Amino acid sequence: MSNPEHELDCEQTLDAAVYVLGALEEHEAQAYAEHLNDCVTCSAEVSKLQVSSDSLALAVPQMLAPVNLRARIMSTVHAEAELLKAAGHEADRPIRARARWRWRLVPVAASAAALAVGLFVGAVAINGGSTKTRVVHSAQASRVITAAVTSPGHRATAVLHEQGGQSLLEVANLPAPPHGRIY
Amino acid sequence: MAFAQLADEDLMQLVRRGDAAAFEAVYDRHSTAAFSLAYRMTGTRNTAEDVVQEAFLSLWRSGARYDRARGSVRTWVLGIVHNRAIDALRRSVVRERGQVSDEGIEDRLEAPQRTEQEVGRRDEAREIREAVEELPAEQSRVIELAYYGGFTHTEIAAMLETPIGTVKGRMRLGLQKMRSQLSSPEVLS
Repeated sequence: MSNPEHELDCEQTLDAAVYVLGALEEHEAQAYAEHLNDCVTCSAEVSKLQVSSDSLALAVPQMLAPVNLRARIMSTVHAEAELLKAAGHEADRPIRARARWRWRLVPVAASAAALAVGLFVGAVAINGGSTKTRVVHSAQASRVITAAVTSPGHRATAVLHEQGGQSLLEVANLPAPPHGRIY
Repeated sequence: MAFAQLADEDLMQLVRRGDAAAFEAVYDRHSTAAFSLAYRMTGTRNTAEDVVQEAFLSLWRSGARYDRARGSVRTWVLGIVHNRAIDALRRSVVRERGQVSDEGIEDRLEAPQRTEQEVGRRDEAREIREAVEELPAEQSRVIELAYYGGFTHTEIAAMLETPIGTVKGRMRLGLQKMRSQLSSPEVLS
């Protein structure tokens, strides 16, 4: 009879069973998950044992979930689905991921950048308010364009920096968008 | 749209796009298994409900994380429930885990066998239970304490007054034997 210990090429392979059963401490499980990225032996062992571990979930006596639990969950889901529908299905992406494009310097044509300021002014003006746009500094290689929109209770500003074929748009103090709309 | 005809994986594509009706179909298909597992692990109806609610809302909000290459939707759902139940158990002060309590026992209605699929699942469950029962007692004990009780390997070693290495070895041998016994593709899928 072979000794299973001799089959282990990595000293952490014995942890595979503990890992798939969820019996490692949280920090140990995280470390082991990282180890799996680099260790073929442990990865193969986890894949093999995971099947048995997953099957344990199916072995328990079956009980119907309470009806009021379904109602509670669906109430939250429908409310969130409505919000998502109003905002667009990409709106629940992480804020950092969504915001990055706004602030990163990207090579764009100056006309496109100026259009961005125009769109900002247009978007804010939807709420009703006066607009003022001016070029603060203009040279062949760089320029700064500012736009301000004033409406009751709000003074939103947009500053477009253009330099060397790249543009950076900064907006601040935007009022909340109208119901069902996003910027 | 007739969601009943759609496979779980196709429903998840819709859930990813924020389709609440598709999510309802996923919930209806898997809530019984989810609640049953949560109740088996936590032993109380209230905690089991909290676990299932957390798990399904997490599924709704992170549907994009489902990867069909890594297994079925049912396995994925139950994996989330299992992790949430472990979190709940480890947060709890009460350390008598892995035991189903008598609380609400009068409400413990077994799900009726309604469809051919459900009958198949019941047979599948029986086959898995038999595979566990056929294990040597010391192997099934550590597996059940870990999986259903949410105990860590160090806690189990202390409880059983057994070296940690032995506990790990028993877990591994037990899972290997189960795998060889659960040879039917239906059970392993």
